[in-house]
Amino acid sequence: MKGSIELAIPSELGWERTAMELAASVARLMGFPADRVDDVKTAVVEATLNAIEHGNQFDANRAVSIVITPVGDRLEVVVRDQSSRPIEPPTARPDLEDQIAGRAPRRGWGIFLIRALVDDVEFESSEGGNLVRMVIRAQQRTSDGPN
Amino acid sequence: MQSVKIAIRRVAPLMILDLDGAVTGSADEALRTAYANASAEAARDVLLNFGGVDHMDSTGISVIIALLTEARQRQQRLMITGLSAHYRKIFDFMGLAQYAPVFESEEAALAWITQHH
Repeated sequence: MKGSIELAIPSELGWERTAMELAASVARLMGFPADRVDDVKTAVVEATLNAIEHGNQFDANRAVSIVITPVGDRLEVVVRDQSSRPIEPPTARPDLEDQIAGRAPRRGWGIFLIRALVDDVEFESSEGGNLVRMVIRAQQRTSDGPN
Repeated sequence: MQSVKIAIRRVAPLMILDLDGAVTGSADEALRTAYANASAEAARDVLLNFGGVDHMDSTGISVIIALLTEARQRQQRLMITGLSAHYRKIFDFMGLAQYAPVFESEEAALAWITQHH
């Protein structure tokens, strides 16, 4: 497969599933096994949710762009918001015990899941917004999960 | 966007919440209300059955974490069954199974409770 598919969605909850289904369709066309299609779906939905919520802050006048590019046996997905505020992705794993005990907010797992499920991920911020670039191979190179 | 539907049933000594649809942040009120109703039956053990769940994201998982907080405060056990292989993997990544035992089936959960009562 050659070429890219680009989708622009409003910053409203629910549209992330459109991006998810599109990426999953491309992954299936590329011959990804079902478990990797599931990984694609979760990674794309989490990156898009972050762009809607933390990047564009639910501003319906700002779009989230999703660009899906098959490259050989791997799928590259770039999710971009239109925020003027740079977002630093968290590096620490959320503390589940603190969350259950009510000592920490219960959110923060999206970036953790992306890192766990994709083969490569990069975060960039510029004047035009924040972007997440994810590479997902048909076969995951490691199966150890996140550290 | 369709969210979750929840049915509550009792299979003594368990209260079972059968979830159907999507578990996202928009499921917060429905799940908390269903959990409170199940708790009103004085059940010590509540089983969340994900067998009908076709979609879940981190905002939905945060609702499950909120239920774990409530379960701890009420001194209840929250248990889980019906997870797809993908969501089981995610729950394992997160360490959720350490706080809410995950079972292959409702029957397995019942057998475990019989042994641990």
